[in-house]
Amino acid sequence: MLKSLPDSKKVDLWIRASGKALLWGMSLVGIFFLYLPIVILVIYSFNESKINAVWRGFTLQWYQSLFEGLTVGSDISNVLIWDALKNSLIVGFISTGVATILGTMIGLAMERFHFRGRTVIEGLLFLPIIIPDITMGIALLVFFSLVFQLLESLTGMRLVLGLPTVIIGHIAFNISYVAVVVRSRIADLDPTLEEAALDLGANEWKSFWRITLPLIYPGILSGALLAFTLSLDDFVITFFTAGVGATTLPVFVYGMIKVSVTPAINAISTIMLFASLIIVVLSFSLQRH
Amino acid sequence: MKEKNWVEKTVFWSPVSWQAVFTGLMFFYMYLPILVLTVYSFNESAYSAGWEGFTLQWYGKLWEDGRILRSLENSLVVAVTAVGVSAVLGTMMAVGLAKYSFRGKTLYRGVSYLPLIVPDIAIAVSTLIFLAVLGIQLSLWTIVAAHIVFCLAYVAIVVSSRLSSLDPHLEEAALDLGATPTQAFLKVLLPELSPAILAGCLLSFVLSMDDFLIASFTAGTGATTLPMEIFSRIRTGVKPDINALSVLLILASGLVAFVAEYVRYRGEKRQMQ
Repeated sequence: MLKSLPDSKKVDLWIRASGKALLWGMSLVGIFFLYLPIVILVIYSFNESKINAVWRGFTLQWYQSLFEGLTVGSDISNVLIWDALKNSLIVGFISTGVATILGTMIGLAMERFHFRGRTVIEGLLFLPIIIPDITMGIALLVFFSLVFQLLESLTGMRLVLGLPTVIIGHIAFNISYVAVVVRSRIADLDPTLEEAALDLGANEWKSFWRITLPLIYPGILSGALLAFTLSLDDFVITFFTAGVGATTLPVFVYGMIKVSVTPAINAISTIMLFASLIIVVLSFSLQRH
Repeated sequence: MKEKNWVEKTVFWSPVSWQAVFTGLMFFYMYLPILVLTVYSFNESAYSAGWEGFTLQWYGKLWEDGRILRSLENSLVVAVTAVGVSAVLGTMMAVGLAKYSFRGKTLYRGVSYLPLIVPDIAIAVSTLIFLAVLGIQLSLWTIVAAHIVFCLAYVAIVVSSRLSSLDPHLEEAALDLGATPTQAFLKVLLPELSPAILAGCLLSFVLSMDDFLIASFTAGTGATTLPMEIFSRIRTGVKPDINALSVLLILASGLVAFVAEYVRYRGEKRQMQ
């Protein structure tokens, strides 16, 4: 059968078959590459052995050790894991809340507002997402030290880095993410709906509260969830803007790994992984509605 | 009544609307740190916050700094290799997902986007443990392997979104007109996809160049990338040459992202016509 086919067809069939095989092979490699590390992480978080790579039986003791309170750092400045978690949640909630309100307002303002050079402004909105975290961290660090110096010379107040500076930094990058998500939602919005409300006698304020806001609400919520995960997961910007005592969970984990990789780290990472996963799945399913 | 008119006038009819003022304020907030950084990268004084005159010496110093140049070279090797591999695999993945249907396809699709969701630190820890379990020595190539994971996902996402907006009849028409499937793929599908592939590559290139956390855990001794070099220097205090380097990195990232977006936009526009 194959012999009766012209050569080019034969080559083609061969390419198709090998393409299919390659696709499957690649999927396997991809899954191996991507998932095996994560699976191993999760499995070893239940491993009784203290050393990774040896399986000694199932245990929940590493999770338990987290609940009993784990510390990292030198003898002088011990940081409890609960403090780190508390800091992470404080930063996450406040920065998400503020960034959601501001980002939504920017999204609305830019959609309604037509002016020259709008593309440039739109590009500027995207830029904080794309610039390296480490440069954002340095920029914030330089900025805060300048502000602190100015304040000290003007009023004599001495300020240091801490949770408030972390929150200010997180708001700065979260605004962009929320604004981008909300804008894409507003762009899909039918402008005639709002016009209809205005025609029917609602004022601007009323039509915003009763028509626009309920319609873009899923976009706002998914933007907020995205911002919350980013804020919880951020290491680099937090590291540069946090002073002593403002350790968040990723900074805590980083500090622990630098000492040695213990099963407790596997346990924390597993929990963080699933927490992010749940929030993002929630966010995507909201966006689809 | 009169008062309401006044409010309406200022709020809705003034030459500068609240939207402009608000947007301006927010951008000021978002960009003030970057602005300060840029200004200080031209400051002659190395230590104080005071302004001592304009200079380009910090930018000049970067070109003589061997460690920075070496780490830049490492970063480029990692990014180019990871993006090159991801471009081929990611495109194949997207095309394969669009063409073949198999059981568990939705799961597979969801799973392939996971690297975008998983916290960087969790990817870093799991890769580190994985490599330790396999007994693989850390080097520059372990960074490349770790970067391929997330670059692949970005390329695949950008290419699939383009594929879903393509007219499937184009390829069928080519096949009807006598092209072999390979010809149809190379001459019809690939040119249509190339803007998306390029845009995906540029995006993942930026991400690979910028990554600190994953690289720092998967790097062997001596395999320092640019963000790692910056990080280790910052711990001893911010020097003006690092300010200059940061400004250059922001500009480069912005430029690459702009080109990526432009390429994607052009591709979509051409398709519309």
